[in-house]
Amino acid sequence: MQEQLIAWMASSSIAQFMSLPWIWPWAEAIHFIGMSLLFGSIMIMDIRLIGFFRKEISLHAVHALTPWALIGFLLNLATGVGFVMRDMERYWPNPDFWFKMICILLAGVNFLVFWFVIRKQLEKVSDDGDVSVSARAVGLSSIVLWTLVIWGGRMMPVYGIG
Amino acid sequence: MSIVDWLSQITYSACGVEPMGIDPGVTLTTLDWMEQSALGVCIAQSWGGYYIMLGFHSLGLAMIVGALMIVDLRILGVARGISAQALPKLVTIGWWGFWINALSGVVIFFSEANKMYYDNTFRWKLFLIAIGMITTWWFSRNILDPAATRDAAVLDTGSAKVQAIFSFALWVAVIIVGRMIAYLTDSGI
Repeated sequence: MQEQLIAWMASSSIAQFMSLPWIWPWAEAIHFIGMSLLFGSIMIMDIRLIGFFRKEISLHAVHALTPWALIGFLLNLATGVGFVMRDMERYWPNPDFWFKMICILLAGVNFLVFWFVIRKQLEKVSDDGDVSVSARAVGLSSIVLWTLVIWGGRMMPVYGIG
Repeated sequence: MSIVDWLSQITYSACGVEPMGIDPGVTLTTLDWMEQSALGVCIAQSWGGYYIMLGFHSLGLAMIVGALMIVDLRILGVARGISAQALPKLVTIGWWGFWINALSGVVIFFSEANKMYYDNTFRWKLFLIAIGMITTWWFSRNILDPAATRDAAVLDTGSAKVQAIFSFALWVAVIIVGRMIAYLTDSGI
């Protein structure tokens, strides 16, 4: 089952595209650019949500960065799927790969909690106001989880091949 | 025992690497000295040391480029609710990232000093970072700080927008060139 999945991924047209000369290095460069866009916009939204820069950054206006976080995420999803399709044979046995995936999943759940629960609470708070403890906790777990995603991504060669 | 020897011993035992035996009669080049120092040997040979440093280097990168990209986007019209007063503080976050990366970068350099010093791609990256630092300092001094303290309308000038586009493109270029170091190893660009 696992072997079949890996073989299917490696024979896909995406995997073949990723094997073309210079596609992999460029995809890595785009993965880092997407990472900066995603992490930068999320970091600034979380910093405000946790309670810093209350006077300088409007609680409501800062969430206009959400689409830019999404653009960064989609860039990294697209390139990340490319890496995994070509090289799942190497990623599968790597515990750090699964650590990164779980952190992304948790960060996604955390975002859904923000979007569907916390956002409604924020409507009642003024631009320079303090948010609830639960909103701060969501901001803190977001920045911690995305930091772990970057950390997990960079540590992969320690736990597996390449 | 000198303080350097003492620190070297601590470094070796902390990362579980055997000290390098260096013939006391040999005069090392600076690059060889870096690679054979306790720091260089431990980063190169310890379990995960090299990648732990790269981990910090990636986080610092995300802080610098992330914060500056958002500042640039704000000047180009995104999330205008982020006040002019906030922008110098976001640049400060970027500078924290810069120092994380200067420190982790020097440590990584010690572990592969000869290879990196003669690598043209690496030299291009350092050159672009130098331009990035000067640009960011200039941008803060002439646009962001005056906008925060006196007149926010400075952010809407054509000159501010041109600098924002230049800054954005430059940091993207730093990432691309930095990533290509791993692939353009022999002759460089």
